Amino acid sequence: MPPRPISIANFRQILTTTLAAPVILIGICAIILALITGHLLKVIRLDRHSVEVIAVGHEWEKLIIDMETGLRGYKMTGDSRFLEPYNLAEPQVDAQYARLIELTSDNPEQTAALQDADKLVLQWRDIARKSIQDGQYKGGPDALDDALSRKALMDSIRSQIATFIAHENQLLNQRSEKVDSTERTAYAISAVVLALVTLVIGLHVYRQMLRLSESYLASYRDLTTQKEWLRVTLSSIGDAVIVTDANGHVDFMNAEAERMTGWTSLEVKSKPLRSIFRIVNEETRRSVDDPVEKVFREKRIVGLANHTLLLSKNGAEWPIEDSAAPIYDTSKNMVGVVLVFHDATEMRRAERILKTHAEDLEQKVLARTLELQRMVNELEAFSYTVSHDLRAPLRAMQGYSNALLEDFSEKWGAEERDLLIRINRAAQRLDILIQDVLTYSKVSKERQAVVPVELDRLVPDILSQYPTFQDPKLKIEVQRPLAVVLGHESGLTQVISNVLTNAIKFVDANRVPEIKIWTDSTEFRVRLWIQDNGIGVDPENHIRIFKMFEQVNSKSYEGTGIGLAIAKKAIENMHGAIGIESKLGEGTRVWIELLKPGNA
Amino acid sequence: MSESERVVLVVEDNADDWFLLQRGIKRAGITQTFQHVPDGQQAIDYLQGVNPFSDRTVYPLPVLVLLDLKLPVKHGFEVLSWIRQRPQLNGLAVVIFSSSKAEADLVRAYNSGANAFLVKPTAAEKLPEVLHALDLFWLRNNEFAPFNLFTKRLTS
Repeated sequence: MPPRPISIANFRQILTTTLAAPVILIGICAIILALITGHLLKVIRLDRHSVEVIAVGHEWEKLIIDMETGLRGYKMTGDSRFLEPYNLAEPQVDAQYARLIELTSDNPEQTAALQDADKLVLQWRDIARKSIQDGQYKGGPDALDDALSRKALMDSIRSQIATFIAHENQLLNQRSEKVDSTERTAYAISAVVLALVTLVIGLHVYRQMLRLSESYLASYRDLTTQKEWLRVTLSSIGDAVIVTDANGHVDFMNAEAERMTGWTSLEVKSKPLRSIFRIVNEETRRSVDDPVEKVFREKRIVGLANHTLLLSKNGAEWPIEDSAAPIYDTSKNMVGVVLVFHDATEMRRAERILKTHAEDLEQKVLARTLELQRMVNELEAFSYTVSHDLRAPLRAMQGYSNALLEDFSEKWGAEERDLLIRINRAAQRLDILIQDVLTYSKVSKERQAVVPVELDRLVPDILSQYPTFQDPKLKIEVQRPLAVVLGHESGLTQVISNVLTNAIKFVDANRVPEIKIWTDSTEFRVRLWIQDNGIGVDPENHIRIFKMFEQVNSKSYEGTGIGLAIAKKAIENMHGAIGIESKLGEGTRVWIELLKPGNA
Repeated sequence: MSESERVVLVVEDNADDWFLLQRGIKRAGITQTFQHVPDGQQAIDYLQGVNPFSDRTVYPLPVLVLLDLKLPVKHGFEVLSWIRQRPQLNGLAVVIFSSSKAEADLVRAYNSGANAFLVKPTAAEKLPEVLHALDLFWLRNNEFAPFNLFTKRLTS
């Protein structure tokens, strides 16, 4: 795994361990050295002890010898002056001995040797004291014996002390050697410890430093990669990018920005942005607010005003769209501005085209509306013409045929009279047809709001007002009460009377028309049913009969074939529906479905 | 003004209609004078008394105008408006005599000051009936104010 850049916390930890480990190691090292030194000093102290023991031993011996010497002088001369060394030494002998005992208290062997020597010394001293009392030698063998006995003792003492000192010397030698060896050991240990510590610290520091330097290198590499990545990104980006420093001077610009402004990065480095990014309003050609200044002022992202034109160095002009944003450092200080813009030529063109299209469309809609209005007007004018001019010749035909029948009746035979009547009737038929067509076109145009209509009042009104329904032969049954519906009273009157007329009209001549009227309701709607016992309608014609000029029956029944088409239109204008249930020869049930009041 | 002096001005461009109307008048037994002009402009000229209608003994002022709507030169509504803009003709009754009863026409006719609106019957046998009613109401029973009274009030 390649070394990763380390975090600040990690970096501090490494620094701490780099310092702490040597400090701790040096401390340990100092303790070890102190211990070694302590040990060495102890060994040296032992060595000195032996030297002292030897010195005190010699002094003790010398005191005893001094006493013997003094005694001998006195013995030979009898002069008490010779006893002076004896007297001087005598009180010191015990003190020196006591010191020796004390000094050798750590060595029972030597203590025992001293005690042996002291026993001899005490013997000698007893003899010496007696000898002093005897006074000067009187000559003879006694004197020799005395001298010889002391000499023998003295020799033993000296031998004992010599042995003691020799032994102590031996100890001294051993101890000196120990001092030397200890010293050498101390040096060696110190050297080893120091070497080890140096090595460990060195290695540790080296390792940490290596780690740090690797991290540093990794960070540096990352930084370089990032910088390169950023540079490549900014350079390859389709939009033009210019970055300024905190003073608004150009710091960086990418290739697209170079292309559009006509300047190169080298030329503009550290120049004020204003001098190379010159923008004016597309229409007024007045200079536009510098977006970078605006960013410095408002400290937020700003978009450029619409219809901005960039004037490039080489005189080219670019319609542009852009935005500028502040750049903050980690301490939230504004350190520059990044300006991003792009060529908006295509966009402006598209906008213009869109606008033109929208205007075109508006004009077309207006033209179509006018056209439609004109057509509606023409249609109305046409209806008007139909109702006036087309009917005039019909009136004339009827009028003249009537005049012929009335004024010249004596001249006509039955055949001529029949022909005139036929002319008259044909004219009448045509007139009804024209009026029905006009009614249909009128109903088609009608757009009235629906209001509640009481069928229970309207249907009986229709039955009583139309002469057609007064025929005493008719059987009309109304199942009251009929419901209330939403509709137009005039339209409903027209439709219901039309349906009733059909119900009476399309009946076999030898049958008595029987008509039944009722309503049934669902939650939102009401159906008005009108049932007859007429000739019925073949199911395949149920839709056709509601179309213009469709009459599905043979010509034995009069009519224009427009009535049901008008009815359908009128009912649809009331948001309702009309339909039939019928079979040929089984009567017909017409239903008219309308909204219930409260559900409009 | 006596009954017998009452004159009706018929404004009708269709010769057939005028022919059948005359026949209907005869058959209804109406004795009053019916003057006829074939277009709107001539109707105005007649009422104004300008050439060729300046002689009031031949072309006396009518008490009633039977006015068709669809007329050449000047439309029936133009004639009606012209009449109603002249206070001296306030006593003149105008009855529209049209082929259709289009709602727009009905509304406009009464808004413009028509006194009545009759539809020309298609069935020939109905015409005498309509004419008889017209004669009975307007020509025999309705009381008109004399025109000179309107004129006087205006000039005084």
